[in-house]
Amino acid sequence: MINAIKIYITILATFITLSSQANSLISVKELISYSNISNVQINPKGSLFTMYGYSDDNLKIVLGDIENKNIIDVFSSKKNENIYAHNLKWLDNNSFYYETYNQKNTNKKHHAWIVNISNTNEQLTLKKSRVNAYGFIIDALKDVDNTLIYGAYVGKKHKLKLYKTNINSLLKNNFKNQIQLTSKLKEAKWYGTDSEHNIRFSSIYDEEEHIVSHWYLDKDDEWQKYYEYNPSNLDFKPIGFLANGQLAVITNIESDLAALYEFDVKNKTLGKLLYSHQQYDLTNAEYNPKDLTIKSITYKNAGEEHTEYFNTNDENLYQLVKDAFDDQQIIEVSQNSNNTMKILFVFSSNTPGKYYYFNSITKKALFLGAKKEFSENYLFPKMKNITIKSNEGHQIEAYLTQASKDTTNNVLLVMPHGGPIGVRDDKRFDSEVQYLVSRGYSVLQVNFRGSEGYGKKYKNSGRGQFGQRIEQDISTIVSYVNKNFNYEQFCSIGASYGGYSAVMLAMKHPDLYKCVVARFGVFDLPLIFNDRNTKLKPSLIELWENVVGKNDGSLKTFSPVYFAEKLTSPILITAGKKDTRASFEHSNRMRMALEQQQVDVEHVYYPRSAHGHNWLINAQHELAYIDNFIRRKLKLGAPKGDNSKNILIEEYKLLAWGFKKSHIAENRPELLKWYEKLADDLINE
Amino acid sequence: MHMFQLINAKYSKQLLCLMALIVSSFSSIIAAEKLKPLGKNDGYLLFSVKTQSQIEHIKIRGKKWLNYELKDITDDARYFMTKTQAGDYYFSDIETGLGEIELDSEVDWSFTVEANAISYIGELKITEYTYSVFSYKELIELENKSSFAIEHIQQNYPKLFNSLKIKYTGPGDDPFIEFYMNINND
Repeated sequence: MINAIKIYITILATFITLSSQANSLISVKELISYSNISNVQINPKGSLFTMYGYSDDNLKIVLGDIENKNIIDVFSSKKNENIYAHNLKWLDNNSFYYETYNQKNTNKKHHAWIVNISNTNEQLTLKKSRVNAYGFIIDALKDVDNTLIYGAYVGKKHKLKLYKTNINSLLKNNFKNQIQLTSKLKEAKWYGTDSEHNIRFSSIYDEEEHIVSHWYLDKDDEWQKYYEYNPSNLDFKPIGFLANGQLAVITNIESDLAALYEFDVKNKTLGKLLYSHQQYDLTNAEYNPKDLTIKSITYKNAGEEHTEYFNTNDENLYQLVKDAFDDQQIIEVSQNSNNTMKILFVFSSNTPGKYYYFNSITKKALFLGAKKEFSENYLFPKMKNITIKSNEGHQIEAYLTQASKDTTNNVLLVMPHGGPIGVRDDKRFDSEVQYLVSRGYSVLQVNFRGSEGYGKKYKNSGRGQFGQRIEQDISTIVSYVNKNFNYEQFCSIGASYGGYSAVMLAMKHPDLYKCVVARFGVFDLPLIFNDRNTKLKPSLIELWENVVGKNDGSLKTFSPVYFAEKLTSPILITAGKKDTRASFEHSNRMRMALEQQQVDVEHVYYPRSAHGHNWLINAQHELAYIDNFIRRKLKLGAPKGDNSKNILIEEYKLLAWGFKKSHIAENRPELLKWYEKLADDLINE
Repeated sequence: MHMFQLINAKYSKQLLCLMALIVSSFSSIIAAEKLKPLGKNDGYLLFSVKTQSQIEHIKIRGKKWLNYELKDITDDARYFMTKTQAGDYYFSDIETGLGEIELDSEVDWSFTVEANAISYIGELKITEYTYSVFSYKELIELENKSSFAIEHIQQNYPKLFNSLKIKYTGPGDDPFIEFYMNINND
């Protein structure tokens, strides 16, 4: 038996170029960039693969031949066209489907395409055709040529009809003489098939009531509702029908942790527990449609993706792969029909990730490319685990990413995540964190109560705890770090709920936090309920009360807008003017209240950003400003590292340009001049 | 599929007659520099409109019937302040270049104008969303942007800013304006 994996470093993707840069300080433009490779998928035979990615910010989709190592372009966008690709899937061994979306086009055009491949004399040729039908693929039926199950919106009234059809019908938008499947469920927009590729599953989301209902098609061709629930409170994820007729589901409806159970769809009852982890929620399970079994389960183990296989051979192979890749995290993103060839995505907290083609028979792994090409040229620090038991008895997990000894400025940035309910930090490469760490800061991220992945009780204990027990959990970890590491200064920085939390932490601990960065935050809790009249419906009020707490007047006590005078450290507020999730009004109120109390406050507003940035240049601008803000307020020197001067000049120019161009930041002539001068002074030094 | 409801031809004549009768009792929104002083039972109504659609008119009903007309509105929100009788009002309907939009009856479109005060009621936002190749819908909502209203009044009506009470009187409760003005006046 082969007991080792051989990794072949062969670069296949033609649009990856290896730079010969030495270890330099990484620029914000390089770090905050689109993926060079993503969404790698192989055809049913495992002989061809597709991937898409960005080269110089322009989208490329390519097709590769594993055996002959050929790569050909399927699609290249023009410069600054701002096109995204998604929903790429193989239809059979020689054709695949994908969709494009043009963000710049005022009509925001969506298009779908089918590519047909011929292989003549080891040369691949393509024929790309536009899909004129409008709808969605339910089941590509990959093992059958030119056949798929498709939901098409047809006729003048665009009614949804389900067909077993062929590629030509999609291209011509003509479903006459195609097999219309009668199994449509009213109001359903999603369908799933069973192991025999018959439509068997559906679900409906009632937006008004915030209820998800799951349905299955019985032997009499009648849709039966087998479960409905509020997804804010419970998890219920159908996986597939087992050989005994029970449905495998991942759920926490009768347990604290989300676990793998049998579910009886006829009696609508939860059955046998199949697998539960001691500490963490399960996030997924892999179903084997050939023998109707569950192949594996997945969960986040101390923030890292982890899979366990039920079959010993599968588990041994997984461990072999883990050992070969030096214990990095591994996700299987695509496989061929008989599951012998796989695409593995291998990543860690200090590497954005790499794609490999893995032959499980020969145990050979072929390197296809890196998600971000810069990762070949820089060494990033890993996240370290910190787990502390709180005074109340619960475990709190946190991750610390430390600047190197050579570059540290001895500043710790405490970075609460958003949410706060049902969101979490992971041990994955985070470009924003790594930017800040490269600039000399260390970053602390805490999975406080309310975070996802630690069971219902942990998640629910964060509800209604804005500015209260959530910040207590964060402070428990911060106290530990303060005692055990030698940081000289602390700042709080966060986005969304994290922006709120950053402000509250500094207000509660004014002696500790020397600066605050509050991004896209909420600062007036009652405003969450009525920032617009469409949110005043009882169902939405209930939804928000489930997160924020009862809107009975007490929320004002935890709204920093109403006690701005308590903030004694300088603060930077950034916001997207189109933000409707954490309404832009929150940030403007906070700024006005702080100015009224003569607190040292700066603000940068981004006119075309919403709850976060859709455009890279805006994200780059904001990060560069954040670094500059912290340096000024804490009187830190320039960042340490090779090329630091050139990096700074580039960022000052970016900042100046951003305040000039209204599509980046709000026009601020005084800041434009300031940063232009800083750039000129450095150039002339 | 549009969310618009085009006026049925059967009712259009009746509506036109009614509108003709009402025209005489409409008051148009007045430019900032032409604000009339308040009478005993009057207040100022302040709101803004933000849309890329072409607005033909916005109808407000209540103590008095108001008709707001704006053509070729830009992307920037337009503030409008008008003197009207104190009392209860509501947005009744909106007409764009493509027809009448029926407001969602499950959403609160009501507001109050207080006597001897500036009553800010929100920003009327009409946004187009394209959610498929052939479908789009319009989202209409009244957004509370009190902080921006304060800044607008302070810049454009400094005398009123310092002399009149300013309140948020749109849908939902919000104490921010009063809180801010109380500290401001301390």
